[in-house]
Amino acid sequence: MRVTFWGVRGSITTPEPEYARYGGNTPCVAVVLNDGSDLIFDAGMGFRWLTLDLLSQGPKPSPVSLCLTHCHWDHIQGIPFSPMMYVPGYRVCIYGRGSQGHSLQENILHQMEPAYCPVPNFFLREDVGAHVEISELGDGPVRVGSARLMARSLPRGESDLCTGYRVEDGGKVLAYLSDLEYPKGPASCEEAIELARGADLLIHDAQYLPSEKAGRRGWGHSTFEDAVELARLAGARRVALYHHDPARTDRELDALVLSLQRTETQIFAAREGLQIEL
Amino acid sequence: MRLKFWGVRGSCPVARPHVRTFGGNTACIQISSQGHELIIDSGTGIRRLGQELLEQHTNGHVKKLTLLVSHAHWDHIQGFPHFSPANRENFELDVYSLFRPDGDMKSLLNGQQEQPFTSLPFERLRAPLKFHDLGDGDRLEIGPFVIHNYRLNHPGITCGFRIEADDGVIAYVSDVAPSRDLLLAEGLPDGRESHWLRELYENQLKLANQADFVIYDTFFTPEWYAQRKHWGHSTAEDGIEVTRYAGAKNLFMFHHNPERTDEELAGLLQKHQRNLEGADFRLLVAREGDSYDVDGSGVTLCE
Repeated sequence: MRVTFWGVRGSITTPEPEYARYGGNTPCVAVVLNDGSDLIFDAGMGFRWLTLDLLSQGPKPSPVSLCLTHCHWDHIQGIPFSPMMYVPGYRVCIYGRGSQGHSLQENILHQMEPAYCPVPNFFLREDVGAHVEISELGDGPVRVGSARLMARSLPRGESDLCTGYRVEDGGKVLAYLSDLEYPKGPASCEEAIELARGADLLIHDAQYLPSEKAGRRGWGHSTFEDAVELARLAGARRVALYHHDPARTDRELDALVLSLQRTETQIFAAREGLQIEL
Repeated sequence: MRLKFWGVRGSCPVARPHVRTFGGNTACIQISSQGHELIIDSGTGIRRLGQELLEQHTNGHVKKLTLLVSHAHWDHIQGFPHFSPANRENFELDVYSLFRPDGDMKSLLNGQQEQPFTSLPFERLRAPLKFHDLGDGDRLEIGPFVIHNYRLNHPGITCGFRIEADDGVIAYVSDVAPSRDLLLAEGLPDGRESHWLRELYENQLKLANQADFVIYDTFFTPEWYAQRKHWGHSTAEDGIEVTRYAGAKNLFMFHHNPERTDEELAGLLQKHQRNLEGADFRLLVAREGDSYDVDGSGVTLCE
């Protein structure tokens, strides 16, 4: 698996220069599987730039798979601004789970209502652009290209859920856990431990500093301490701190990484453009 | 009055190196006069404006802010959930927008903030928020500002604003499509398409009439426009025509295409400036972070 970070910023795009090194695009991670097929996690603004790159590679024989953690705007706002979605001949399979009593499709379409979107609901029209299929995932694994993909519902505080993912491909494991908040710490979240068990790379929400957490309970995010603790509990080898707060500048992220104690797990802050071969 | 550009990009925010000079935040403009603050649109640029307002206003005394929203497409509202003054007791916010039959601006902003889209629900915001519907052509007085709004040709329901204060006039004409091809504005009373296209063009001229400053949607080049007429945007050529007919003094290219690199934008500016030698108005490009003083005697870039 080859993993590339296209967007690492949480909540809102930050184009200002003090965020330029780690990057200001909202979440999107691309994985090229062993058989060459494309698996994508989340479709924030990074999705626009990723899919421009995919377009430049020419026609795709196999469908592009997109796994969504949830439907907050920063995780789906790249979809209508992805040129690939407008090109006939491409096939895009969107995976995820509904929430708050709505199906995944309803949540995506709600965001693209005409009042908000000049091209409403375009991607479900057969006569326009890429062919899109939306599938709700259960607990059983599904096959995507050469990989086995598993989804679990994870807590976003006490009252909401998001979807986390585990990908196994060619003997390597990637876990993608964004926008989760442990009500009682990672140790009490069996689903998260199950997804990250033995992972070669764990990508984990680390929006807040422990000092910021108290005022933001219920906002649905983790701290770097949560990320490191889950990696330890699950025996993950590497952890990428991800979904950086929009107020966190490059310098602050540098300082945060330097302040982390050395552990058996390798810890780093995800940066736009970073590529990791598992 | 002083004007500052906080977001100049159209469609979607761009956090990529090709726009570092002119900026990647979506539409947001601040106009200040005599201690009053007027904000036009709440694209991603409004996040930093909110931070600055918090830093400048730290006492318990309540500061009133006015937000004018041209329409509800994402790039004009997506920053609102990140506008910190809306969540502080020492601010008060009045939001004005054109009346719409398909759900008012309050429900639209609220809709973007309710689950499943963000985590901070509207009703928990701490600043008192008041919403006001405008009629097409209304005149409004807020502190030193006299504000007019007129409907524009853009998909859905969109208006432009004309702000008068301190003997200066600023016209905000974004988002707008030319009137020569397609009627895109929706929900208009019965009438022939050609009639409405003419009316909507007249509206552009009313907004820009003798203005010191015309901020204009120049998203397209003519080649792009020809392929995407239904998107609802204009070209620099269209802005130049309106500025000329309206007798305005300065035209700002605005709502830049996310693809448009800094070099391309600077090149377009140069090309048009060459063609405009001897014209009665100046052509400039809106750049994130730039401020201008606007009064009857002219327009000056602030250091």
